[in-house]
Amino acid sequence: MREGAIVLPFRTVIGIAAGVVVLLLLIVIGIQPGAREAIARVTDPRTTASQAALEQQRTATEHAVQRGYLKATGQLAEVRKLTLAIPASQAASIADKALADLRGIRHDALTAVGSRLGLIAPQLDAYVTAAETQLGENAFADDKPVLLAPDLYAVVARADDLFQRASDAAIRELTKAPSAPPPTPSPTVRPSPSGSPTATPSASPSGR
Amino acid sequence: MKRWSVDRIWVGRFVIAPALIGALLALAIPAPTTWGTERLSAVLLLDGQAYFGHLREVPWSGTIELRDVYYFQDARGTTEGLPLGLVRRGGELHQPLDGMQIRRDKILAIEQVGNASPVLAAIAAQRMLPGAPR
Repeated sequence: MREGAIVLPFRTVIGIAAGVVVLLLLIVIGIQPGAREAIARVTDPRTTASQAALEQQRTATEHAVQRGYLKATGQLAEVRKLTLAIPASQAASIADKALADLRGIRHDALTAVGSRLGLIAPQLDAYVTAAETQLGENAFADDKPVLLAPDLYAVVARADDLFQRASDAAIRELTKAPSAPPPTPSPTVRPSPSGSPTATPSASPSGR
Repeated sequence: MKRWSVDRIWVGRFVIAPALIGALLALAIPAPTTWGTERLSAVLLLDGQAYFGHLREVPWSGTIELRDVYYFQDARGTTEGLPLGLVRRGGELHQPLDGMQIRRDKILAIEQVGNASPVLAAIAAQRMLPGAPR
């Protein structure tokens, strides 16, 4: 035996080695995200919703979109009741366009809901058509509020924003003061470049 | 007079070593009595903000770590029907990666979210949506 050498019993060496291995394992578990997540899957599993809960979320989202749609159409209808400065035909045209826009926004919102739920092309179209038919003009005002999943809430929040913008734009157009009448065309005005047969008296075949 | 002698090797092997290993395990692994159910925490901050997620206590650190984070957003302007909407952290402009450090001195309270709560129901539904992280 060499002089100055430290002699350890075999059992002590085994014990120290085992201790070091356990320590290293614990450090790996503590530091490595993969190992930590593997443990977490057993000790702290993630809850997932049942199909019924998902259906409830879907219905609540559709109804929220519908409430936004009806709120916007309701605002539009209230403005239409007023005596507007613009001609009735112009008001009707603006309102019709706004209603078409609002229906389009609702359609897109329902498409977004369907695609977030994992539906693809043929089923997605069928879902949107069925949902639009089912929603109709119902208000669903007595619904019990449901806290929506973040992605579904994002669809509702975006749709509400677009409904409001479309409605506001239409209301602005409906309530604006009529533009100043164009200057009365004098008989000496040159013919319109459009070449319309009813352009001006001076363009008439009689050639005054 | 009888004298008590302590076998230091025995104490080291059967008392100190298991105690150290147990302490390290307790830091890494939660108590077995809580296994099998999700432990979602609500971290309520002094400024009124609340964050929901999986809490990881970092020992000897001035911060806690929250993963898989959700928070409330003002939803009074929407037609959801509730004054608050739930948002998943990660969609902000700086697109934070998962894992949020919160200073301990800014925390008012930490509570465990109930398993039947609307918050956990909404998060559970979110996890079922295709493409959403579980």
